[in-house]
Amino acid sequence: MALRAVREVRVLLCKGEASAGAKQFIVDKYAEIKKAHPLLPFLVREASGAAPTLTARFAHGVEKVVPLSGLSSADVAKKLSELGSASP
Amino acid sequence: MLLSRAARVERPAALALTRAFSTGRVHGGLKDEDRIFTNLYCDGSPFLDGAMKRGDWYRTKDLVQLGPERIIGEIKRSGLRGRGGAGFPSGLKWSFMPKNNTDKPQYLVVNADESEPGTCKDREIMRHDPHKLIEGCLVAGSAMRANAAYIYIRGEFVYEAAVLERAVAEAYKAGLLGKNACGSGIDFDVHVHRGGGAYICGEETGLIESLEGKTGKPRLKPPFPANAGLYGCPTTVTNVETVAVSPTILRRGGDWFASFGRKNNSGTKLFCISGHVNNPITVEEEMSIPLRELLEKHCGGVRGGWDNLLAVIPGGSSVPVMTKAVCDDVLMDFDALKEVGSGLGTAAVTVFDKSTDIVAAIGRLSKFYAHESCGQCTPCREGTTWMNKIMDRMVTGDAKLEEIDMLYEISQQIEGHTICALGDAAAWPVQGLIRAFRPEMEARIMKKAAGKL
Amino acid sequence: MLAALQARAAATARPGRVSLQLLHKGARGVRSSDARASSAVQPAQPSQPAAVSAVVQLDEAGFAVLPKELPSMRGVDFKQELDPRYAETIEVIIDGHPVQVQKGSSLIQACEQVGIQVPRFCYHERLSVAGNCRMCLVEIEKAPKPVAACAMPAAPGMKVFTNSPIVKKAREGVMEFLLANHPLDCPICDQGGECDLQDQSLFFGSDRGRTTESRRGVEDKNLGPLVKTVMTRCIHCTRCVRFATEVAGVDELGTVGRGNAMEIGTYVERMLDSEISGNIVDLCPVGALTSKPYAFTARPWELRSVESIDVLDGYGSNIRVDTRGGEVMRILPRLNEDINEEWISDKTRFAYDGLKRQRLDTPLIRPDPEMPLQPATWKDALTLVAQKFKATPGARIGAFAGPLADVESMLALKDLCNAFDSEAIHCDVPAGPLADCRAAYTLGSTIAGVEEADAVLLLSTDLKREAPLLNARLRRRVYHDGVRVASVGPRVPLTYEYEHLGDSVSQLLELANGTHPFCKVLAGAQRPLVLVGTGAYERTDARGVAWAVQKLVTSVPALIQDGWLGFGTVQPTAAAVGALDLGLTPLASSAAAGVGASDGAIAEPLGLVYLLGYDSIDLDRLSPDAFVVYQGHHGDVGAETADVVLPGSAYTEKVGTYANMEGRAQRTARAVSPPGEARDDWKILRAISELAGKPLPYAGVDGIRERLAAVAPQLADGTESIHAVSPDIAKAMLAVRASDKFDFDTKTPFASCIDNFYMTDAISRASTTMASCTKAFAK
Repeated sequence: MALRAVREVRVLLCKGEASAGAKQFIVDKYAEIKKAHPLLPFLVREASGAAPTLTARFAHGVEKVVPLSGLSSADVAKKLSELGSASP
Repeated sequence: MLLSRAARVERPAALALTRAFSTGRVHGGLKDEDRIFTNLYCDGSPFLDGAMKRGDWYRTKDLVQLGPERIIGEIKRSGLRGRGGAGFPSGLKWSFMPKNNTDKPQYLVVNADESEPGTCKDREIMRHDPHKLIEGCLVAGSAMRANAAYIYIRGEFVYEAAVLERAVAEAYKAGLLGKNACGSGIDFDVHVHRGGGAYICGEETGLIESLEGKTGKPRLKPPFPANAGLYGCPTTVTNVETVAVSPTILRRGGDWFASFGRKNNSGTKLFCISGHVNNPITVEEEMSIPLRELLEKHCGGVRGGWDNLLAVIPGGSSVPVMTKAVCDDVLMDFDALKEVGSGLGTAAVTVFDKSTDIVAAIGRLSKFYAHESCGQCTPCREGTTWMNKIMDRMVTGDAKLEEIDMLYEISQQIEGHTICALGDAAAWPVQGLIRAFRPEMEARIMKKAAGKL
Repeated sequence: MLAALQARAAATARPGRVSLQLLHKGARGVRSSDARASSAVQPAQPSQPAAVSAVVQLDEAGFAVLPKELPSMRGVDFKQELDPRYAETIEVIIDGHPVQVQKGSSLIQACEQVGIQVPRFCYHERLSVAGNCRMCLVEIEKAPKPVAACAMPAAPGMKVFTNSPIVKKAREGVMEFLLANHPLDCPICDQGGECDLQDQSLFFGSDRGRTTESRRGVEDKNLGPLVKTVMTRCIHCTRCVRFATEVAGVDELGTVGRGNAMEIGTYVERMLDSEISGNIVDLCPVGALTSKPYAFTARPWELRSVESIDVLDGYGSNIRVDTRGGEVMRILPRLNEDINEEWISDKTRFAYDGLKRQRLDTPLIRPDPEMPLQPATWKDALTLVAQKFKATPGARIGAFAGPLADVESMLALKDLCNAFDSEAIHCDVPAGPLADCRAAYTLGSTIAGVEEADAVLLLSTDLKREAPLLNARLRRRVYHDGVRVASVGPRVPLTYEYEHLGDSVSQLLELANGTHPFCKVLAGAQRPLVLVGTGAYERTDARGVAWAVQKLVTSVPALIQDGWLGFGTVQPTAAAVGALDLGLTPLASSAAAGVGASDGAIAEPLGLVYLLGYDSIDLDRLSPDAFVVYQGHHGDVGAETADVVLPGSAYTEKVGTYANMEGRAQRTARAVSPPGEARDDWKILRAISELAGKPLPYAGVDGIRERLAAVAPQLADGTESIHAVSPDIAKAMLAVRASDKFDFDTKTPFASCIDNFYMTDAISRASTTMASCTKAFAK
């Protein structure tokens, strides 16, 4: 996954079913991502009542936010790589 | 005027009640063959050799093997009431101990902290007849399913403790205590523990605290020692005399013991008479003996004759004082004395003749209680000191007449509101003084006010 | 008027003190004909859900109308309310009303559950029952004498009378005895106005004393620089003795003497060596134990109280800030069952005088590196800083957030620096396991959850000084339930027995590999707990230690399971969790790093260094051309080295979010205004952003809260709840460890991150009280 331009990734999860896919993605793929990008801050935060989102921050504080509600693990992976390859 | 109901009881009615319970005969005149403590005056050796000659340790194995139910049944039948001051039926008290407890040891604690002013009976038992006590520990302990007995002896009893320890060592050596005590099949240990010198360590839970090594400050009840006592285990705390008479009761039968004294006040008792009598003495006599007979027969009478009597404190300093009029025909047992507004307590009879400054005497008792208060609870800690200070002024007359009622009210504020009975014990002498000798107090105050003192 | 009086009483009720709502039953008293109901009913305490409203209705004649039924409340303790073990109730008849009370309550608790406050001095819910004041006597039907309500367990069918003539007489008697020897110190006693003795004598005592005797006098005891003792006032309730023995775990207080000569003290002259000794000041019902720094400064009715949060350590104790005329006069605890119960540590309580010293109250600019700082206007200072931001390339901009920084300002700082293409925004936390997963740096079990653990391993922590109240909870667990505690770290007294396994990395490696004997204990426990102090990561081999800790945590399955996360880091600062939640970078170990080094990345020497209350700067590592901006509230080390100083607000002067070590976000409140020209921190940063041409997208409080909700919603929802990490996520993320080989430093022992408990941040360093404590308790 090319995440070279990304400075920080934030995954916000909620407690319910809407985040199930995203949770599975983290459980399955976090190790891999971290191996490939050991210095990339990949913050995973959970809060009940929050809408599950994926935020990528680029240079100069530019952020792109993608909602993850109801998506499956594969969808989340796709979204992440989209963000990674997108230019800031 | 806040006088208690007991004080307002008319004397004739009290007598009527006394007579109503009477068996019809006059009690007293205990025969020698009926005495339990046969070595009270150390005519024989206090140790094992003398004890066995006197019949102690005879077939103790059989007594123990009677089993808890039969032993307690016999004690109940005898009507034995606690000899430490409270007079609680012993058979009932011993039956409070758990019967099916398997996870904690159970203890018998013998209260040999004889600190009630005027009392000197346990001392005689321990230094002249210790084996009665030790055998009693084994028998009573087995009745309570206890594993061990702790004898807490007051620290001032140096000689008595030495005698007792020697007697215990003898008993161990002879196989009467320890593993398979007396061959009865139960293991029983007896430990002697010396106290540090505090009256409050004679209070049941204060004693347990002291035995555990802490300051002797009484515990709250509930929980009662029978549930959580020494080291948290079921414990019964009994007086020396109560335990020491139990083997004899078992040997001679509860009915024999109950044949002495009136109903509900059965048995013999050690009376310690001190004060203004010709022959102060500790003597074993039948319960319900008239006070006059006790004093005249065994103590040579009041100094200067019976009419020289001023007052008597019949049961140790904690019970209210009785005037001569009451003493003329009162019987020495629990119920009779309660009816006249006093109590048998430890049967430590203190006799005051007409030369006594009764206010100063009670004042000295107030000082005792103020000194001995442990300081835990507010009414006792503050109240006993306050009463002491007021009594000091009553002695010199530096008081107002209204302060007599104030003193009575203060004593009522202490009584019943404290953790242990020391508060009550401090209050009662003062109440007794005010009820019985109020004119004396008033006279002194008025004399002082008039400058004549 | 009545409502105001009641509200005032509620607000000024000191914790640990009986709040006597009787005062506000009615301006003209209660009709005597309604004796039973009037005496029995009192409005509920403010901290509990009350069925009766606090305002009392008056009838036409002006007398208070009281409800015929007693308000009934189930449960006083949150935990007990939810815990089914305590749900069973029994019926007792209190003052003629049959009510349901919790089974196992004492009478005093039963009465409290239905809203009747039985007066007492020695009884305290969190201490063992002493039963020695005798003020709580109540009458039970068929009992020969009144019984102490605190000691008598409620039995089904018991008939209790809390206001019969006998009870009233008993209370008057006890009150008279207490006052007989009590000195007439009210005018000079600090407890006046919030004194249990004053209040209870007013309601339950008689109208005059009768004693004409001389009173006793007792020598004052020296308990240290924090607690002032006037032992003549002592009423021997023994609350302080029981607190010291049971909660603080220091057996130093006791009673000496007998009867009226009884004295409470330490017997040999020694100070109370406990970090929570200040709580005995709250507990003491009279003015025998008072706060020495607070002595003679204020009366309680002059004070205005604000509910806030403490930030001097990572615990997040709930406090009440009492102010008068814009000055903080004292800090008292606030009840929070889940965090600090009713206690606060001494630093929390007494460091407030540091808020008035060494304050930065005006912007300062250093015109020349050789010259001292000069006062300047906000415009000049902010413009200068903005210019520097524009001029410095992003790779050379670095920011450091200190231990007292609030979440909002750290968020603004990060957004500002990110906008200028800087990634070097650090927080004052040593680098441990990766902060990607929240479980790596928070107390997973939660503070209250620590009391569910059945085997505890402490790593490199002096828990008694890093989190004294957490230590007190653990102590309760050890002595009530016999839980085993082992420690790999400094051999320090923890007030309870624990096994000291060693202090070297080798023990940690053995534990991580599963070869240490204690591993069996952890494996056999149902709820094991591993508590790591941040001192473990302040070493040269910090990365190796983090690796070993993660290995240990993931190797014991019971540590991360459904409903129990038994891994926790004891964060010593209030800013740590918030910073890591927001994504600030921890510092690499102090030995290896200086200013500008982050985990792994080698930074260029920094050109613009922005210090947000950060005082641990390593001056030698600063490059000579670095421009240092210090934004903070005290003139500490950071301000001395700065080129521009921007005065911010301290925690009592702003509304800021702080996340405690459990990850619970709480907000401080504004009790006083910041001094001089000082402003709210995040607003300063917003102003800089505007002047620098990249305005942050929020201008008001709502705006920044919205931004916070987007970045870290677990800190923004305002419910003060903990958003727990899912066990599978925790397991998956903590399992990811660097697979490098590490050089472990087996020579250096594990140490605590705290050197001096009394001085850990700018405020406590500026406090004279803390200085005298350091001197008194220096080891």
